[in-house]
Amino acid sequence: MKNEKSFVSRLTGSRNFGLVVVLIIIIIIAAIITPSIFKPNTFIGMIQNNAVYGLLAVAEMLVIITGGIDISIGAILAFVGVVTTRYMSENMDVPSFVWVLVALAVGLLCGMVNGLLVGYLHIVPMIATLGTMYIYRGMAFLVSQGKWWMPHQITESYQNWAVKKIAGLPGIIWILILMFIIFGFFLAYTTYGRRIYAIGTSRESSAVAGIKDSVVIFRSMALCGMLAGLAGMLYTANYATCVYTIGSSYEMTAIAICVLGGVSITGGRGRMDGVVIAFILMSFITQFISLLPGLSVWSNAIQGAIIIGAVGLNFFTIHQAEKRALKERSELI
Amino acid sequence: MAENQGNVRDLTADEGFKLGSFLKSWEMVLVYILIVVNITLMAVRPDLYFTSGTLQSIIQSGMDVSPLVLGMVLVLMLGDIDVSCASVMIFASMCTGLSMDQGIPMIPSVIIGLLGGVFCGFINGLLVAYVGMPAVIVTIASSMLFRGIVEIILNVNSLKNFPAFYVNISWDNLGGVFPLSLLIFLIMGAFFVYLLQKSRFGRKLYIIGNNATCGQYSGIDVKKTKLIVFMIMGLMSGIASIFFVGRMGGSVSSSMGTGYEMNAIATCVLGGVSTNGGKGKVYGPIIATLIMAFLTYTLGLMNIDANIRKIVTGIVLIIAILISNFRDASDARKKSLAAASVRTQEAK
Repeated sequence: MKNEKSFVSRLTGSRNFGLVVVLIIIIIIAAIITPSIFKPNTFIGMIQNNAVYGLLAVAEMLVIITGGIDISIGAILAFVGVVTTRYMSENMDVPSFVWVLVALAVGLLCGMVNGLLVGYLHIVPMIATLGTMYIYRGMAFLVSQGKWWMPHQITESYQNWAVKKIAGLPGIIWILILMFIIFGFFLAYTTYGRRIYAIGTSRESSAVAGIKDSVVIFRSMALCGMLAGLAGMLYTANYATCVYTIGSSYEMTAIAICVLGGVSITGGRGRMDGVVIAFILMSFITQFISLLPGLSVWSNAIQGAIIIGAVGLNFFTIHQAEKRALKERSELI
Repeated sequence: MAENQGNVRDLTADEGFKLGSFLKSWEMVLVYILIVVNITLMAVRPDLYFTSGTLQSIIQSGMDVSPLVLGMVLVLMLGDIDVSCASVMIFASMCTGLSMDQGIPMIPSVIIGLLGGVFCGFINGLLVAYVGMPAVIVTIASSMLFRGIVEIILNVNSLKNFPAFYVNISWDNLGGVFPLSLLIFLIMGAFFVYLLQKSRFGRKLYIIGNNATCGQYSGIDVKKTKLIVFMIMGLMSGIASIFFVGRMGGSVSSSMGTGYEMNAIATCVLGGVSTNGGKGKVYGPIIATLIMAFLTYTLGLMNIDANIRKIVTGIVLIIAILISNFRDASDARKKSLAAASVRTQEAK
């Protein structure tokens, strides 16, 4: 038996291989057709415009790894965005960090309701969050009374959380990077993070190992809600507009980024580096399409096709890797 | 243990009709809910309730998602999910509309629309069954793809040239009393009851939903069955396009019908179909479709805004699931108690 795998087979066996190949292909096509995408400002703008998706993807990841799914995050985003924007515009003299705390708290509350339903009352995650999606979206309307908020109603210090540039990067990107690092570390290196993976791999064996699945699922759904709430506040700060319909079907994009990034929809698998690459890929695709004149109607179709292609390629490489591992094991015996 | 082996347990299933358990079954609970909603409506607006045409229009308003519900039952039965069905519905209506614009006669155009739906279902099924990708992610991506194709072809235009009978199906009453859409829905429902409960194909779905590996080893071609189910879902989305376009007064544009897939899934779940697969009947979702129609209409009559109705829908959904969860849990407890008593008797 060979102990040392060749460099090539290790590369192609890696879970992110399919993803990186697609990313490189897209970059090459983009470089040929629209070279302007590689200007630093365009690149930063691209990440800034898609940062909300990145935050939602991190949120969704926490839930998907437990083997669940949360389709209410788009509605939480809208609800929290409406709450913070409305009360901010009514109390303009309150310092803006208060609204960040409000966003985190309201998001956490929404997530806790989800966690209660899924973790303790054992409702199937898809259905529980489908129900709360309706509820939060309706509450967003109730709080907003169907009103629009325009840039002049939104204070500059509130907007600065997303748009003010620190060391060349806007605040929203710094927050996104911070979340990538914090939750990447949290998932990979803390006991609590590893418990999330354990639950997702097998509930029975993690229960035998003494992990309380209700608690873990409750907490990860609560964290997911909190991140979605933060995304809601930053969305309204970034675009300086708010209406109760924002963020509809964002959860689908977030799920797509997660699965593209190698997070297994059945739970127990997935790493932050994959999600980061998938996020960049997704941003590239949307930006690239919007730069091509007359192609904006194509964006949905192209995104759908690319997700199917990339996920298919990912599954294909994973199957190949598993087959190879099985073969090696049988040779060993 | 040796002396126990002579003591053969009674394994014959008790299939006799029991009135008590029938009255407590989930389908009957749904009927009670439907009656309660009806009484509420009657009490709130008696003048309107007894006016001719109200009941018919309530039922008609709920029928536009009904074919999606029937197809979704089969998909959920497998433990899969299809969130692309609303996009497929729009895709199918576009196929019909475009071929009518090309001057193709009515019947072939309708068939082209249905085939368009089946084709979309075929792609979904191929990716789910034969490539082995999870259904959630396949259908999220394919819903973007199909709706995207409609966006490319129609851009901001809308198609207006549809067969005249589309509108008749959605708005006419048979003999002025019985909604035509309800009749068609019930006929399709009866067929699906047969398909799922009585046919060999339907029983296969229950086995796959409960345990796909077990199904594979008992000689079921799981991949082929999944493919067929997704194609049926596509066909039902095509049929839904007839109801939907008729309901919209015979026009379609690319932005229509978003969120219908969630309504269909919610209705199925309210009807007692488990999203884990292998559990549920067709009767439940049929009654749940009517409940949803009456609920929406009643709340609308009370001058409650559409967005607040969403909150009510969500709460109803969650409460329905909680009730059925508790029932399952208490059933399981009863069964385990019964099994324990059997064991103690055997031990004696």
